[in-house]
Amino acid sequence: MNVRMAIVIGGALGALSRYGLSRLFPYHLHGAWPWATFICNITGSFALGLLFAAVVRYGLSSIWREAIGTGFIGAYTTFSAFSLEVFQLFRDGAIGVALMYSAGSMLMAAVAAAVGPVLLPPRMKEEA
Amino acid sequence: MLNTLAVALGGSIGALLRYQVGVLVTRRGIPAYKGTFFINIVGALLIGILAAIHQRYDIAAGYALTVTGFLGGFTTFSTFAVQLVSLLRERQFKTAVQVGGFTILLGIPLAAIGFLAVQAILES
Repeated sequence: MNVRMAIVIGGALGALSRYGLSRLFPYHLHGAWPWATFICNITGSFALGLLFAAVVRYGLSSIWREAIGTGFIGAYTTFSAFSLEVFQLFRDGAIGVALMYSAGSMLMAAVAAAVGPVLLPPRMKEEA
Repeated sequence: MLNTLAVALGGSIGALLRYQVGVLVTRRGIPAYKGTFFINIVGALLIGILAAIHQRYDIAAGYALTVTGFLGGFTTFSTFAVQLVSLLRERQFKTAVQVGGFTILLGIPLAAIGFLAVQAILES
């Protein structure tokens, strides 16, 4: 399979998963915490950290790395919706939520990305 | 159903375009985080513009295709976070702070400018 084809399929599935989460956690109330985007960005950052560590440790093929990493997780997480939501929170006067959400997303995404590789079990050969 | 298809189509095009930008950036020997920065900044400006258009002309399938699908698939938070962490691991603290700071401090105002400018044009 072609790398671009893998990214197209992964990207469609990632965007659909994010869309599904946004249906589960609709964002209607002004000044409310944008849960759907928040969950996507934190869990996606965790998953991408885990994937990159898995590539190094288990030698995952590049087609899977691109399909899951660039395609699925890349499309599952989003910066554009995040920036729009922060602006809307500021505009609606929810300054505290806007600051907490922007700083919290960045901090927790970075921590999640760093934690992923630590939780990955070592390769069998290394243990032996 | 139409919206679901639109999200899938937009998401796959966005992800593919992000990959192509990454390939271009890497081929020129530019660090990958600069590519992510460019993608996210452009995506933030575009979402502001599209959200204002959507507010005026409420077309659900259009929003699903361009915003939820395409821009969601094009921009990325996970790569941004992973690249920040690897900069910190490599002890490039200054670059990490610059990348994190500029992405947020440029992205959010650009979304605001895009939205407010187009809103003003459409309401005039």
